[in-house]
Amino acid sequence: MIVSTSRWPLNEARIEQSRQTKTSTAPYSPLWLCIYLPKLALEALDRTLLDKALPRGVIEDIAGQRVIHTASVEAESAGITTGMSIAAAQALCPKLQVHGRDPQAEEETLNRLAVWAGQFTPVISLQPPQALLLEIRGSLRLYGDLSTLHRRLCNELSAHINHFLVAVAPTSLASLLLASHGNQTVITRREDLRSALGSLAIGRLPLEPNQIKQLTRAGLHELQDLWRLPRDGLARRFGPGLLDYLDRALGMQPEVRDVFRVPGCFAASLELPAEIRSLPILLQAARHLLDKLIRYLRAKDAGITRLQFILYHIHQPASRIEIGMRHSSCEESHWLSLLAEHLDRLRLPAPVIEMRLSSEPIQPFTPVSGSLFAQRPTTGKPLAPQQEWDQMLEHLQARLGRKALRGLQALADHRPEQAWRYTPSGIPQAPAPSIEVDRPLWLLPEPQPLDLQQNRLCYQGSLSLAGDPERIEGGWWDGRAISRDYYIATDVNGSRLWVFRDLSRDHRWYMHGLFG
Amino acid sequence: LYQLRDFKTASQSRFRKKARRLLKISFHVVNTELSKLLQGNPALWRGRESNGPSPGGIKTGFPELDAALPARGWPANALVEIVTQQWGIGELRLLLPAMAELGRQRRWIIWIAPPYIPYAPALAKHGINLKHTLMLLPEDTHQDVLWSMEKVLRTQVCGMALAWPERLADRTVRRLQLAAEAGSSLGILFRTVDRASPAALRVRLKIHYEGLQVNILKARGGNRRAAVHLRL
Repeated sequence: MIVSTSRWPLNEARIEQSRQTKTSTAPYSPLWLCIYLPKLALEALDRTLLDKALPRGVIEDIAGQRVIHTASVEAESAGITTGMSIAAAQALCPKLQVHGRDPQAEEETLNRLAVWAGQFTPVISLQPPQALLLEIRGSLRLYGDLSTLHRRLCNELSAHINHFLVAVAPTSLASLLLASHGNQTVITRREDLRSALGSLAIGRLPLEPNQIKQLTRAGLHELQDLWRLPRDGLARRFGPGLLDYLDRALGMQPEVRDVFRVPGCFAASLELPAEIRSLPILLQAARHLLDKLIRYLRAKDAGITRLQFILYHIHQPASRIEIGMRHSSCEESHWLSLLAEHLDRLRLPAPVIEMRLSSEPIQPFTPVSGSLFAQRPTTGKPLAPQQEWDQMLEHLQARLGRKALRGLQALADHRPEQAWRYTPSGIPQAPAPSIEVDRPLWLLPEPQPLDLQQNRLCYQGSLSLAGDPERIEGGWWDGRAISRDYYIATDVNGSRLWVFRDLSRDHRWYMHGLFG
Repeated sequence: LYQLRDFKTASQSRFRKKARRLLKISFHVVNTELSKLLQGNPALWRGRESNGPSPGGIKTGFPELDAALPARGWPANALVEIVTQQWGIGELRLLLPAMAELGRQRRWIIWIAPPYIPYAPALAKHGINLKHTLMLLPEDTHQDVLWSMEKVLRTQVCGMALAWPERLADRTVRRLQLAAEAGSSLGILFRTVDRASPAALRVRLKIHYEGLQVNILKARGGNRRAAVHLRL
């Protein structure tokens, strides 16, 4: 067994040594620093949690069961662990406060930390759900040495988040494995990786569960057990994926990582002077935030298509309002009117104490070109028709919901029910097939059974049939087979109805449409 | 004294004549100026006189009906109430030519919560531009229907908006009429009760033995209560 000579806790002498080794290795070899956040799910929620003294836990739904995802230190000391059911946890610790997991808040926190980490290195990679990887080899010269960088990073990080683990290794995968196992070490040479990773338990590797089961069944419990096995045999028994994974962790194969780019996002918050429920005052506060956003966008010559308002309450989870537009826009009045529409519909669970506005990444703003000569100078600000139409659709969508807006489409099918459909609005349509026969303008959602009284059809009075029947049948190919004789009927008032006799089932009469 | 009186009356009568002449001339001038101003003003209701075709009417597609309506067609930028006891007697066919014409101009036809499903193949057959047809199907409330109607009427791109409200306050109709005037579209309200309302045009439909009888109950810009028989 290789003695782990190069696994050491951070100290100056060793760092000196690592600098020497660095200068000796000629080509550029990356060095990754992993920030692992074991309590991210909990800390992402801390804005809304008030009582931090009590034990807290974050729960999530796994297969319909609510289990603990992350427990605070106080809760852990009471014996609560991840994966425990909520009932068991509350039995152990009756004072436990639980909150639902908020993946969006976690992602936001991770993104915020990534933006913050941009001061240390330009190469940052996110490892959702709870790790951040920084390539720091290029920054060592700026900071003097690794220990200075490490110390400053940890000092500043503790201002942002309470629980974090930091590990350094020549490959990103190795640094992630070390940090996530609570192994806060610094490894600078690739040759030392094997021994450093050797003691990690296989059961906690991010592999597929049945692969882990296979490995443990074969008596392999730590990574060093795998080092001893011949490579070809390993690949044959457990697939090339595992070998590939190990090679990447050891730096024998190149790693591909997505680089995090700092989004040009806007976020601002406003603490309200009092607990506010009144709509006009909230809108006034929103106007203040939007004003800031618009100035920011103008300065960057950019626009956005989505933004989010978060309203914070006391003792209640925050309410979110998402507003979307069809085109990137930087017009304040329009955003404000959409927000008013949303606020009007929203039921606030409690008065608002703080309001936060965040935007999605900004996009280059492409204003809609208007005509040189305003067509309607009397109506104030003329809008291009398309723009006006889009704005109206946004308003309708904001109030009625996306599903309430539909287009109509005629389809090439001879069966009445299959000859048309609703389409989502805004989808370009194929030209309607032309038909020769007379069809009603109104169709009933469901055929309505008609009564027979003394051998006459009745619908609000007796009906008289006119003309020859039109037989419509077929449809075995999609399971909606029909066989019907359609007639045009006239009722006592003179309305023309479209009625049919169902030949396939019960020979009953139905009304299917009105000629309108 | 007599002479003096004579002189006085003579001068007075001369003055009167002069004044009368002057007044006559000024009356004439004012009259022509006034009539110039009043002629062709669609906002003015001129009692028994009809003031000729007002601009901007949308052709109904039925010459008899066009002739009977003051705007020589459906009034543009206005609200029209169509009163019928039941659906299906031809109220849609009455509107189809105008809808088709608006569709050719690529203006939108918006159906707000129709009572049944507008059958797309039949609409296409009558020349309706389905690409410029939008259905608004609010989930529940009456309030949403009226809100959407007002919103839609205020825009310039919408050609026609149709709604089937169950009950309506006069105030709401007035709001919709104002919205239609602010925009450039024709709002159609289908109603089952016949009540005086601020809409620009109110017609009642009845089945006729060879088609449809359209009773013009109220038309802004004209005071003829006409009944027109249409062959559909």
